[in-house]
Amino acid sequence: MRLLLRLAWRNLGRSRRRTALMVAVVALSTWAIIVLWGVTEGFTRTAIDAQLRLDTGDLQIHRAGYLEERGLSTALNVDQLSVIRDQLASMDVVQAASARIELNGLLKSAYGSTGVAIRGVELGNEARVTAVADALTDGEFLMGDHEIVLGARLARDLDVRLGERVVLETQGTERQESRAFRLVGTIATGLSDLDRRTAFVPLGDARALSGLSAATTVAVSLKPGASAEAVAASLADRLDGNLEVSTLFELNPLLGNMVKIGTFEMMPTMIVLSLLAGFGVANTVMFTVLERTREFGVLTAVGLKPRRLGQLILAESTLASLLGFAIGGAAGYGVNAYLARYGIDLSFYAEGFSGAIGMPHVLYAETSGWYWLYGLSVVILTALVAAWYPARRAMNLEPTEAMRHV
Amino acid sequence: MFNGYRARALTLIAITLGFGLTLGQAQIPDDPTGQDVLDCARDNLVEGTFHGTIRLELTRPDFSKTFVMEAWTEGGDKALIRIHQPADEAGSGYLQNGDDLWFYDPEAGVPISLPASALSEDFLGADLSLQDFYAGTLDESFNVELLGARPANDEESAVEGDRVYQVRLIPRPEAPVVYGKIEIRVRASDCATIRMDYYDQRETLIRQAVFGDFATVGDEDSRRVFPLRMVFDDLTQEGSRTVETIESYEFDIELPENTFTQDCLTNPDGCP
Repeated sequence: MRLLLRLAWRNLGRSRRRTALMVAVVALSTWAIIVLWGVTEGFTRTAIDAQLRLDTGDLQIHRAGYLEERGLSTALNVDQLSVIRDQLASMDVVQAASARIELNGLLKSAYGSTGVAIRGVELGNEARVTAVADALTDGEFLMGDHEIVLGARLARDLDVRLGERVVLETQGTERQESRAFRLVGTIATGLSDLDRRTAFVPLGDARALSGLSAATTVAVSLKPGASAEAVAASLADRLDGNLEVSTLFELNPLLGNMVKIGTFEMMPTMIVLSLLAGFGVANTVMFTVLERTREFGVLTAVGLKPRRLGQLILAESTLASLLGFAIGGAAGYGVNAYLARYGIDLSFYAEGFSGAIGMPHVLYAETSGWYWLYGLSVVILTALVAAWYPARRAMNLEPTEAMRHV
Repeated sequence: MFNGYRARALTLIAITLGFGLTLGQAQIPDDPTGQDVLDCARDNLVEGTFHGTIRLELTRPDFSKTFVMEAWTEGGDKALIRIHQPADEAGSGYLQNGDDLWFYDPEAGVPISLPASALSEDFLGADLSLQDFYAGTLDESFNVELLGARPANDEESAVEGDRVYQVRLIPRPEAPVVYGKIEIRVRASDCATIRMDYYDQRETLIRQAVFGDFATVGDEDSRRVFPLRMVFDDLTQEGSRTVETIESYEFDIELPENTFTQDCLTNPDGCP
């Protein structure tokens, strides 16, 4: 066996161009698979993480039907809110929970006005549920009543500076409300919705603006490692049917669909890439066999068994594939590592697509260790399968005839 | 169909008519405070009815447009407006009844309900805080300070020896007002407001409203002055001006009960 490998290795070295071709085909496919995988998974992970971390929290609880209308008429009442709080407090996996009021309103500065999504948050708890407070570009996060935090972009659009007063107008449950706020901080989360259309205010002010006495939403963060789906299910069991527990993909179905489509779309692409690599290897090996008919004839004539000959050819293509795999893998991980560190800035597209699903502007690739295994199994398997036919052909050579082959 | 500038036109009118109507008897006491001056200008708001023709000239950096419209109003929160010019918008109109607001376009055939916020939203360009100003929230929203008085010039008053008081309104920290301060000039002889200056929170003058061509209406006991010409300048946008001229007017008339209804908005027959 060792002899066979040495022989195969020497054979590869003897015809460098042929070997280079085979290695290149495998390397390219491996590279493409690893980069594609890393980028796709990295992007969805970035988007999901950003949403969970900055916007939604791991879970949200609403009154049933709220998500369809998102109106004040389907807000939680005081009793429901306290039931939810009690249940959450009794669950070990829950890290923190923050009540929110979400409603639409008009944000006015002296220079203009724009429609915004007002998010009233509990001052202490919100920071334990989401990391919005860490995304400050200027000033500080909410500390007290009549304070407001805006996306840096939104603040710039309305030309509001720190310390200046803005007015929020809303249609509350009872009447139209308007209230003054002092801009205490600006944030840049990279999530288009938060940066351009969201106004963060203390929950108490949001209650005044909405006329609600409780909240519309309870956002929950879980301890690391907890499964949002599992906790959502057990929480749903504990709460009565008037309340609804939602995970990220239920809150943002568009993002959920994107993830599903992304994973689904990858499969055919992977198969095509594998086939490409397979055909490349098969093609090269096939030519090798045809070209080396005479050589094989001689080898068989001096006593190399056809089976061993077949093994030799398979060993050659395996070695070449492994080499190509190593090169392609290294290059692929190199690209992924770069993209994981520096990301791809999609702010160019952010206005349209990624804004709608709440995708960050800069997306980062993943460098999970599993891609190489996937690449290895796919590429090497196809290479072996592809080399099988030419190898068989070589095994069936008639030595005398083969030797006469020019 | 729905056009922000026309909605603005509506609000301009609604606001103007709630404003500037002053009782002849209103007097500013000797050695007044800012509040006295303001009370004189404000207490004289009349809850009566109005009917008139209004010309509205909008000039913006990229276009200009003139509307001629007929308006009926009652108090500060009921208005029916019918547009006569330009020709392509003739027959369309607005109806405000309290918080309810409708727009009507003959091509659409049915009144379209507008959110109440449309009033302030589109209004912002000119002089929203007039609304804040007269909504009765004034005292809790502003600190009032008399800056001084000086003799009126010829443009400001035709009355011999008339004086102009200048009052500064500074919003209280939690007042829902986007301006840094508002300065108002009121002339002594009839308490007519002749000018309002809106400053942002950086001490920059950003909006200006100038009132002139005052007409006197009412009899001896209820004499009021009323500006027939109002010029609004948006100083944040060069070349942006709105001029409102009242071409004909009558006050304290009987309006049919159905005036402020959708029927009258869509069909002038049987309406005033």
